[in-house]
Amino acid sequence: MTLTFEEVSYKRDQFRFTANGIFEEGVHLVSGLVGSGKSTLAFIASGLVPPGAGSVHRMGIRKSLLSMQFPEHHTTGITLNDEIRSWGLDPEAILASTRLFTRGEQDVNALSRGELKRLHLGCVLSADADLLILDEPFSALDCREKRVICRRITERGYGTVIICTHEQTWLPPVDCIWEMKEGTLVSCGRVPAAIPRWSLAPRHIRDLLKRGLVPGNISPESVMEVACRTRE
Amino acid sequence: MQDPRIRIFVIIVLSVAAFISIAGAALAFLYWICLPGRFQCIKKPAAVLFLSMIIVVSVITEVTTGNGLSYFIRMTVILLLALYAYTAYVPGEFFRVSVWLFGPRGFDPGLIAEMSMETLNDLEDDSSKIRIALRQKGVPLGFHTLVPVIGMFVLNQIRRAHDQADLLTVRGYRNGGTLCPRFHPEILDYVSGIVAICMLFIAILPVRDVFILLH
Repeated sequence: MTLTFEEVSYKRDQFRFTANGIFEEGVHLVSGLVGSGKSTLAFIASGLVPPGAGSVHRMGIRKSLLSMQFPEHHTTGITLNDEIRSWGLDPEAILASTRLFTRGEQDVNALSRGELKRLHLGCVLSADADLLILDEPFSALDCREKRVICRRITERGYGTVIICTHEQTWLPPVDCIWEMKEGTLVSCGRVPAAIPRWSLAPRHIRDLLKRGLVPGNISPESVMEVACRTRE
Repeated sequence: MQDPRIRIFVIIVLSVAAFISIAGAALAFLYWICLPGRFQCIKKPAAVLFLSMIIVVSVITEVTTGNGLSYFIRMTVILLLALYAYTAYVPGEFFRVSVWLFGPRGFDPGLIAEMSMETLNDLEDDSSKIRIALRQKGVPLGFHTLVPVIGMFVLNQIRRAHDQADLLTVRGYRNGGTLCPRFHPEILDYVSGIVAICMLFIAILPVRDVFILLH
């Protein structure tokens, strides 16, 4: 199961996007500053926006799903139950997993953005998709929810997951790290070898690297494990 | 056209020319053909919607009072000019033009115009995103989905308006303000303006009179 970007380029006004690379099965982090082209990558990877030039090949991918940054853009149901059913899922299971237990008949628009994001990600992560692209999945979530989402991404255990984010702390263990630099996709390689090459690495990871310590992965647990080891 | 004052002026003049007569519409269409990015503007989903509305009204006009074809041609050219104006718009232009035109009194109308344009952009963005959502879920846009979709549009706008009001309050806005607009017109901008004025005169004059003048 691979997603290949072959000499892909895309232009919108002054912004120019270029990508070359292969996304194999596993969890991929696409890190980048705001406006660097992460969302453009997400839209092109999902096949919803055709590239201006080059091609995107999907080998063994039956179904791909894009989770856009703002959950309200996915809302097509009136109540929570309607919304969950529109994803072809069982409302009871999703409401339980997102801790919105008794609110099934409530208006979707009555939810706060954080709650709506929780519901949306609950649906997306339960949907059957070989290629899952999450555009800023941690926005509007508190630390506890970010941790839950990281755990659910890890537990998924199949297909390709591409996480496009500028989140710096709450990240799940990943297989590969990529960077978007002024519209260009750059591969840092596989983790853990990719971590020292990750120029946009969070400060706590950079501090560890300065001390010659390379964490096994980028999740808080992995980083903590290395940081604590030095104290012994 | 770099100067927004001349661009807006040209759009207004050509729209009037197109509305007055078929000859004016034909000239305005010729002008539109020469504009950069003209075909980019007709790719917008709103173009199909507005064109459909023009077709419906034209058919009704033709059936009831006649002149439906003339109405269709003139309104289609006006639509093309409006779409071009929307595509060529750069944020902040209406604000600058309004203050240049009306002085300090133009500050508030300019601000309102900018907010309106931003709202149109947001609606366009929301509509493209919601189409993606429906496509991903495999749900057709029907009566059942129309209510939540429209609800989403309305609620998003209310939320944005609320945020914008908060922002203006935090910045101490009550009414009015200061802005020193600067423009950098090029020779081509002036030529474009003069050509548009000539087209308006030709549209106003009956075609027969033009040939008499030429003789």
